[in-house]
Amino acid sequence: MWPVVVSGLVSGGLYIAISLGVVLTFRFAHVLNFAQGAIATLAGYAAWQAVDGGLPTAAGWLVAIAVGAVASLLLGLVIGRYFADAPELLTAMATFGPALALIGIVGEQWGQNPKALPVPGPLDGTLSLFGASVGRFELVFLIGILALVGLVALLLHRSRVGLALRALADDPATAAVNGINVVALERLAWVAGGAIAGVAGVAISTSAQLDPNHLTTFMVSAFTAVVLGGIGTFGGLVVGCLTYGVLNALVAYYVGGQYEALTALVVLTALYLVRPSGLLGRQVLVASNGLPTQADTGGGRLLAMLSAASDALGRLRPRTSRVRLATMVVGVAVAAVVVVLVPRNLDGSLVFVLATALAMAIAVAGQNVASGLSGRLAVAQGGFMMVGGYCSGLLVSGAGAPAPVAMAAGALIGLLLGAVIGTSIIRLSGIYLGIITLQFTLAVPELAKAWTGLTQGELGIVLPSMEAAGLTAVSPYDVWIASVAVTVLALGVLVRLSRGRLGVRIRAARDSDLGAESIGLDVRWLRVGAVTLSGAGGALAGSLGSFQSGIITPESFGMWTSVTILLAAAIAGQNSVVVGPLVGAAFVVLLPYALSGSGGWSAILFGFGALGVLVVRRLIAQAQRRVAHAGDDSSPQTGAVGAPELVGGAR
Amino acid sequence: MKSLVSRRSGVVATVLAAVVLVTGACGNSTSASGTGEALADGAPLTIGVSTVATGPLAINDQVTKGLGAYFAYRNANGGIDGRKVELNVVDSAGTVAGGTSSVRQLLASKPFGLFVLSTAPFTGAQSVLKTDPTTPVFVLANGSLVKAAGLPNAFGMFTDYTTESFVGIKTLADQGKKKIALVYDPTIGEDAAKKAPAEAAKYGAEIVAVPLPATTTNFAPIAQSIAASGADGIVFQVVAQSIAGTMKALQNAGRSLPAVSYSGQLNATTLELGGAALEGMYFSALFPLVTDPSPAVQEFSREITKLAPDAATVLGILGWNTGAMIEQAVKDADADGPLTQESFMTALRGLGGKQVGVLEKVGWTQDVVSSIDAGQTDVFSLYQVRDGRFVKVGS
Repeated sequence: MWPVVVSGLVSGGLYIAISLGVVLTFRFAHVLNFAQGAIATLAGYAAWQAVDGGLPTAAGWLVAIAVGAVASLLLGLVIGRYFADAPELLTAMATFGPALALIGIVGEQWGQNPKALPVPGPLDGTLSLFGASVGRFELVFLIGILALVGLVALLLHRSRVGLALRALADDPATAAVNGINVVALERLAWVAGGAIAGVAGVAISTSAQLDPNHLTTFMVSAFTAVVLGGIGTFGGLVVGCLTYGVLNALVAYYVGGQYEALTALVVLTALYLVRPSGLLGRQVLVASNGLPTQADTGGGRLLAMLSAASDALGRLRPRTSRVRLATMVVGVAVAAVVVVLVPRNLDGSLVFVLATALAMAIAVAGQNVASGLSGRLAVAQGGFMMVGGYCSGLLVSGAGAPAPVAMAAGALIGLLLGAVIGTSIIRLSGIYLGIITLQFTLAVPELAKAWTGLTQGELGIVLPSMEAAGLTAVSPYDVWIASVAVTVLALGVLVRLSRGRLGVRIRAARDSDLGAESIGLDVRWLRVGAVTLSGAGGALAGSLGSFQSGIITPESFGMWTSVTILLAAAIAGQNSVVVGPLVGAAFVVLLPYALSGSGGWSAILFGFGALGVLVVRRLIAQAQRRVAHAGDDSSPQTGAVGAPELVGGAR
Repeated sequence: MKSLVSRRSGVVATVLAAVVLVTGACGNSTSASGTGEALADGAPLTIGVSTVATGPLAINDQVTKGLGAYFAYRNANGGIDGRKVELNVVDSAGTVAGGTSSVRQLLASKPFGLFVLSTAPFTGAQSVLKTDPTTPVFVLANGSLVKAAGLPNAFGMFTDYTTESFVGIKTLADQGKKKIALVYDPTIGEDAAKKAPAEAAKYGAEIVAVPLPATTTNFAPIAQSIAASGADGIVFQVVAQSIAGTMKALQNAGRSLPAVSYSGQLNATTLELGGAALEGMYFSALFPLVTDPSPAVQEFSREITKLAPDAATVLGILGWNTGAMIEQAVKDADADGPLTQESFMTALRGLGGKQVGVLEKVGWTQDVVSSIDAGQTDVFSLYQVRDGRFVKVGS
């Protein structure tokens, strides 16, 4: 067992390397940087190119550090410029697009074949550590990264810059008022995070391999390690990463490596019942009041004018109930014509893709209930979709149930599962909630692969065409009409609930949990309700998606499905459960479809496109806020200060 | 008043939704289907390719590049019987849903043939492919999966991993090994893990199954697990990174075991990642090395270097050879009469046992075309790593 433990500690060192930069940007720039793995990848390839070009290995490391720092700073400049006062979900998703684009760029430039980075000469070979053989490079790196963490902690506690950074982490607005150059410090955090990404990129690639996707996947595992230890402290980072590395190693040895996510889910759930902030984490109240952005540019003024004009047009709208009803009837009739007639004249494959976008819209609407209306970073939709898909598949193939019954059952199972999950994570929020729900999404496919007697393993369960009232959806157009029916029903229910008493209460809890509690609302159970509804939406989406594909397998929905849904939710806007999800779903489904003939460029264009859409969205929101403030000169400026929010942990 | 308006709105919306449903339900079916018509002389041949150009499985795009390089070369030299071959390439991103939509998109343009790359897109595409049994479909996925799909028009262009595991078991059993660790990726090797024990029993050996997901980064526990099981040989059905990681971990632990990998990892990349830890290791092979001196392979190397140097790999040569098989089948079909999809598929089935392109022998039989080896172990060659290079040691 000792050699296994030692290997786990070494793995933990690599987790620390990829996580340290993420923690720095999270604490001091208030951004959960999904692109850290991609930046590390770019830095790793830069090092490889340098070494392949004849430079010594040490020069390769320096190149990697420089490339990582520059790439991270560029990303930080964009985030700081457009997303400084944006919600947590939005800033996290703003880093997702660049992550995809960077991976695409690396793939196009260097190809998909994995590459090997050489171990520095003096560090080649193995050592014996109390009988356990360990690579010399890996051991030295472990010691080095622990020393680096110690150095960073020392600087933070003993230097003036460190003191300023800690002030920034606790309260950015007050730090600015006190004369601290907040912008410069945030940029410093991005540079430091990127430099450390460069170190991580080279180290992990030297120990394992270098390919376009490996480090992003590795980073996701590292997130789990970080929240295990607790994100508020460096001690938590070290303990969490080392513990997670050892835990994974022991599970791989005694049980099997195919249960990593399931193990993480069980461990985190058990831990959070006792310590919601992780092993060494601490509850910290942070005024999440991003600073005002410099939005008064030409583009900003133009958008403000357009927004003002739109408001003026809106004021011309008649308000009598009969006219409103007539307008609604006309609108629905136009929509009906569009839905029924236009697809008849489109290519069948495009119509089918539009149908899949509707399934995605249901999932996004459900996500918006959990993360938008409720304001919590839940990443479980992929898992709910998988559960819904398998439920429907089993009912249809095993019990011969009709498609509508199978889908309704799938949604009900999702509802119940959402209630269970919502209850078990009732005390969590922030990144802790995000990671544990992500582990749920990763664990469901593991279960599906293992439980072959039920799920048929990799072969999957075949679903027949949707059939109801004697009608069978065979052609793409039929599938489209059936999907429209399901989507109208699902979104109708979600709209009714979100605009009704339950939705108002959930939003009240989001905007101010103390205020909500003061008027007698049970905030915790409202959050459970949000996750419950989200689960039903996700499961129904998965069920519909499985009928559309005609099959459900462990590969049908996974982590990237959840992350894509989050991106679509960020585009949709937090309060929307109809138009926003339709727009968000259309973006994440139709743009890749349009780019599907572009080869590797599609990831690059999609990634930058996603970032562009989020930037435009932010500019519009800022313009609308400016118009609103300009229209009410007597009211105080309140745009910059948001509701207080915990870093994460228990509420 | 407000509740009256909202009630009216609800009723109106419901009525209109019902109208939509009823009207829409009277739609026409527009499923794609092959025409069975003869292709006119000189008319271009279109092959639709559902590739994986993005995502974690994008390495499979090398197959498409190899296929593209083959037809670019042929088209520049007059085409096939005077016909140019055009590729219509769509990215599935390696997902189930991507496979469904990409194949729908490709079939809508009524290609002469289709090529679907990778397991997840193929499983997603099955429901669509079942609606069009006349278009020949080449599939790059585990042969056992293609067989399980039961599509009469599907031609497996890759090996059956279960068969390859049998090759590994036989190789080690011939060396007297009695306890063989089957290290497999659960995504691709589940069928092999189920059937390997019975195969090993034929040689008086037993199997220790060791699942190893492709996302594994710490291989020391796997090496310890293999050592603790008492295994005296290893059969790998995992990606190159996992082979390299496990063999290095075994080397670090002072345990050197004979090992055999499947043909998909017979690549310079595997050697680069594994280094000295792979010395003496065996690789089963159906396709020759890309550095093979034969004229057919040299032709591939020359052309792929011009168009896509990163596809000078076993996947690239597989794509290239698919092009060669398509060409041969077109020529055979042309020789027997008008070229139709049906005559083309008949000609494809007739390629079994023949030398085509870089393949010394196509393993297909008249009854089994789900994998390029058709479940036969004797079509494989064996390579061994000696002094950092692959050396052919037998078949």
